[in-house]
Amino acid sequence: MRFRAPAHHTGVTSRVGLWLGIAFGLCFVTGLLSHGVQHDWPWPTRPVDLYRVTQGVHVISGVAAIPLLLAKLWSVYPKLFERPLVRSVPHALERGSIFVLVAASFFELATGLFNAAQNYPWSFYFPTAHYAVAWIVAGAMLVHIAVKIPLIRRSLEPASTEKTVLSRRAFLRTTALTTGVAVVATAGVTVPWLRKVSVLAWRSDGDLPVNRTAKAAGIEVPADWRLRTNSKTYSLDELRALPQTTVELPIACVEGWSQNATWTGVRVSELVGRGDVRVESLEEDGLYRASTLPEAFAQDPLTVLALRLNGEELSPDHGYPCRLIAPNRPGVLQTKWVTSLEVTA
Amino acid sequence: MKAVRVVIGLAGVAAGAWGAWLLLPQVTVELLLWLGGGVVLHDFLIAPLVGATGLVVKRPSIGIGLTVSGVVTLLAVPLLWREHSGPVNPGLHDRDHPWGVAVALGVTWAAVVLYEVAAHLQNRRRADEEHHVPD
Repeated sequence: MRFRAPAHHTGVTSRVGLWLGIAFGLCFVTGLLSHGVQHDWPWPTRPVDLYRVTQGVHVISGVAAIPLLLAKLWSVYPKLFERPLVRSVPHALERGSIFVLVAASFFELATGLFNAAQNYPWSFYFPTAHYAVAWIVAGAMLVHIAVKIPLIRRSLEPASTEKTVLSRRAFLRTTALTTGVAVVATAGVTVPWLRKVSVLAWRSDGDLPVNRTAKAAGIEVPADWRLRTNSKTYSLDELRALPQTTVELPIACVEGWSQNATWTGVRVSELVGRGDVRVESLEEDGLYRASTLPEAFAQDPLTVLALRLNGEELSPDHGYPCRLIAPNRPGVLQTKWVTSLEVTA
Repeated sequence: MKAVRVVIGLAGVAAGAWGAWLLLPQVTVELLLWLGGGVVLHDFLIAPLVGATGLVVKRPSIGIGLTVSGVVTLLAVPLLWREHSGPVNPGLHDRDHPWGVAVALGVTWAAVVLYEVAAHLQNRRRADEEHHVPD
């Protein structure tokens, strides 16, 4: 089989590879941060939008990596037909590492895209599998770069004297254009002014999205509901009678979507003493029925047990009778239908 | 340079081994199918299809239109095939996705047609100018 198209030139491979490396790098670092914030790694309370930005970057760079990976693989496709299949032990190891890299990359992009759409055509647990395979992608990519450094350096040198350079450029431009289309078509999940344009976004251009409805969570608020804390309990009317604070904070979901809203309620620091706070929901089971609020967040003046959203009483789907809203936290940790706030340590 | 390459390579082996260690307790046949499936699908279906298309399609604008359409279609799969998906919630997954995909493809091909029309008109003008005989 013969491949003569300029797309298969090493200069093209290196350039697309560089773009893909940047996309994967951003994806890995932001993914690691998101893993950390959900596993009690140190995480700041400011800037309030930090998680919104890092998780938006995670999802957007992942989407951008899809056309980039396909362009990269098309560029090196002829190598699949190289014979002999294996020339030496190092050559076998190199080919093996590339197989691992490609398999793990497809896995990450496919499962990530499906997860953003909350679509699970598999039975394994997405967060742990996606996290483990991310390390495999990162490792195999580093090995690949280490092997290819001399080739990359040579191939990135200008090759203006060669005749086919224009069509090489055309391939690179097509890759860039397709990547741009993919980003614009989805980035509206987090970028407000793109919401109408992003026709492939997994959210609509309306009110604050609901990730889990009260019905799905099986919530029934008892008539004698009271908020429990270490020292006392509060009825909803008693909470309403306490000093109210209004904050403007985003819900920033791990699935990449985010939106600002105005929340009114009681500062958590006025309800509990110092220490980490365990926040529990009326939800009886479910992965995110409770969360831990580190002391720095619990004492933050912007952290509120919200009773109202955008000027109206919380709807059942947004967490009636009250929900947690804190700066710079993933949406799944902004516990809804709160029933107790207890200092644990 | 050699030392840098060795350090990067060893860091890569360590990171990859850590990932494999984390993945090991989760390995099932299904997970391995998802891991290998992309490679098989790409090498034996997508790439040959791209190659065959490249042999047939000679106009760059149509090639670009097909490339963009292909990626739009891939991105749309989880939105359109919702057999295993969570519920449609207020504000989430409640877009009209078939319409969204239709719009994306429509805009792509409208751009291709516009480009071809503009290129055709420009060629004709150029041809007219060349054939124009001065008095």
